[in-house]
Amino acid sequence: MFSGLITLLQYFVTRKTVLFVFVLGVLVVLSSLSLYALSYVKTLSRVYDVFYPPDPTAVATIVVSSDALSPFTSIVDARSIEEKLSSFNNIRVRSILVTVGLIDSRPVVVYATDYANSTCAYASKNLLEAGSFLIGDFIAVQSPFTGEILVLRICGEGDKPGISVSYENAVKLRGVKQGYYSFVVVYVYSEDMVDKVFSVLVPRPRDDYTERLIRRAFLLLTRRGEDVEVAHAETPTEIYLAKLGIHREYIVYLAYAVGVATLASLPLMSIGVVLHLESRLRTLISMGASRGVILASLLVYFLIAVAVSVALSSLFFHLGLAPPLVFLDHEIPLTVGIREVITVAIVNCTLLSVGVFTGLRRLES
Amino acid sequence: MDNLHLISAIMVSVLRKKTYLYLLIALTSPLLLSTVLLSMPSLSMFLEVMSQRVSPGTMSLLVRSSASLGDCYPVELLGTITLNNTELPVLVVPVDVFLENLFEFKEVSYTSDFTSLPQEVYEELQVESVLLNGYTRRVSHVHRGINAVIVLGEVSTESDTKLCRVSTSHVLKEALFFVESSLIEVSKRWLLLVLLAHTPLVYVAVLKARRALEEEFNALHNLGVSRGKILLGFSLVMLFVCVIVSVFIVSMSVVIVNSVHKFTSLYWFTPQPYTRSVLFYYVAGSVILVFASSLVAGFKKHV
Repeated sequence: MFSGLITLLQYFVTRKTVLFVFVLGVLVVLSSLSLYALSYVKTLSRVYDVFYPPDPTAVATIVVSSDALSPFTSIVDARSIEEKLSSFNNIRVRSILVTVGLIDSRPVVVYATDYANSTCAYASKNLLEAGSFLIGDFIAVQSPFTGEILVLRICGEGDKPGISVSYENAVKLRGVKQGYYSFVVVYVYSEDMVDKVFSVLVPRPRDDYTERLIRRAFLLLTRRGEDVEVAHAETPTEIYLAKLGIHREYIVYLAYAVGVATLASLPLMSIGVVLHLESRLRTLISMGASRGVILASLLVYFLIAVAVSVALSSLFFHLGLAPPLVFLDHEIPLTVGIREVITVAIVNCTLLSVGVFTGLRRLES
Repeated sequence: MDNLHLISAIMVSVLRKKTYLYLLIALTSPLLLSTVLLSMPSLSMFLEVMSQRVSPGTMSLLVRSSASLGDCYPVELLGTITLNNTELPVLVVPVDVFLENLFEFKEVSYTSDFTSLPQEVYEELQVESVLLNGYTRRVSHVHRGINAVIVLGEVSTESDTKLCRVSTSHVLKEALFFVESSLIEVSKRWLLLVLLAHTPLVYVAVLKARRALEEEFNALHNLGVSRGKILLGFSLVMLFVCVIVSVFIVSMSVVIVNSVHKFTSLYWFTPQPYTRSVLFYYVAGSVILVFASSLVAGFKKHV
């Protein structure tokens, strides 16, 4: 039986090379589109993460932010947090101000940096490449909060998304007083400090908070009266999306639903192949070839096609050929994880097998 | 046999042999995805509803574009002046513009030339005059809202820098529309690729349909109907079936999207889905795809 299977496979792949290449082509395109959708939706759910600088050496990272729908509208009094934590060592406090401004009525991310002076703005590579302005040009950045217009000169290329301006200018655009930031990131470098830092930041913490804090990357703490509710999140963006009622599970469901729906018509593909090989298959059956061997060889044929196509699609993403996600003029490269690749491969195999079974049943009847 | 009879005979065969099911399988994926993704809630529409509840306001907008945003005046940004290490851009505004509409001004001294400094700079540096193009100009006014020195002068009407007075809700709507349109653009491109990637599958579906109807075609041919006529009749029937199948898939998808919205809005706030008219092109695209595939499949002698 095994030698029969190999002979048939050899025949399908070598004698019908054009058909195999065609099947492979369709599978590569559909798998890539499916993986793109999966990865796009997942990346969209992490769109704000770029604003939260990670520190791999820290034992715990605590982000203090206000109750807001995006990091652009959150306001935190950095001084009060610094005062609370002034007696601690082995920690580092970093305050970040990020907001949105309008350039020609288009929203762009505005980032407060140390290196910009009061008349300079540094545009990201993407903004400069978009070509709406050049280094040395004046740009008018409008605050959507106060209506204030800041005319700034583009002094160079910045390393942050959107445009980087001085803290004073960012404060004017955000329409808040000096000393306020979007969020404060507290990096804790020793495990025994986490407990203490946390108890200073969150009054009346319950015992299990600290344990969860160490275990989970991000916590969503919501104050309801005296109590503080805790939920975990994998990325900072999730915390904002959760406030809109969009939880991680829904995003994952949506991503997989779109990814699977892209492949939903695949049974037709294997039916088409069986149809194409019909006369050959009939001859083989009349020559006494076992149906089991034909079925197995067709299944292995598609298994090989799926393996090759999924590998090629993953390579396409791995080489960075997939167009990145662009949000408010900053680019986030799309990546695919092994879980998504395996899912797409399994869905491909299942749907193609359904087609093979249906095709062969029709053939027999 | 006249043409109408031929088409109805093929139509009856298609319905009897349920060959439309292949088309349904082939088109469900691209059309369902198109309907769902092109029905994502519109942020700018959402703002329109919300803005009815907030008081209308206006803001000044300095833009560099040829598009008109409301009441716009051409202005020019003419380099900078330096006051005690503070660099300030100079904004030249035409004489006939009623500046009071655009910014809030306060007169600080009487002079024939209009020169206005940002209030913060004026108060901080206590300057009485500025040096502009080699001439010393006395500061006549101070203003808020823009960090530039404002002077009156000749401005070419061709200038692409414009100062506009726009309603706040319009500005926010434009900004949200920009965010939304970038998402819609990506979806549109992706959906087009999905539709194109389905071409071979649509072809297989049509081929299956044609194969199922082989006996009927032979019977019609024996009745004296030419092969060409049968082929055209088959393609027209497939086109018609495709229109019905597409409308069915799209309407079912709209029902699904709205049901999901109604269900989720029971638990939390979700913005209303909004189906964009561009969906029509995707439906038209799939209909054309089916028609073209039917013609190609019809030309195949042995199926």
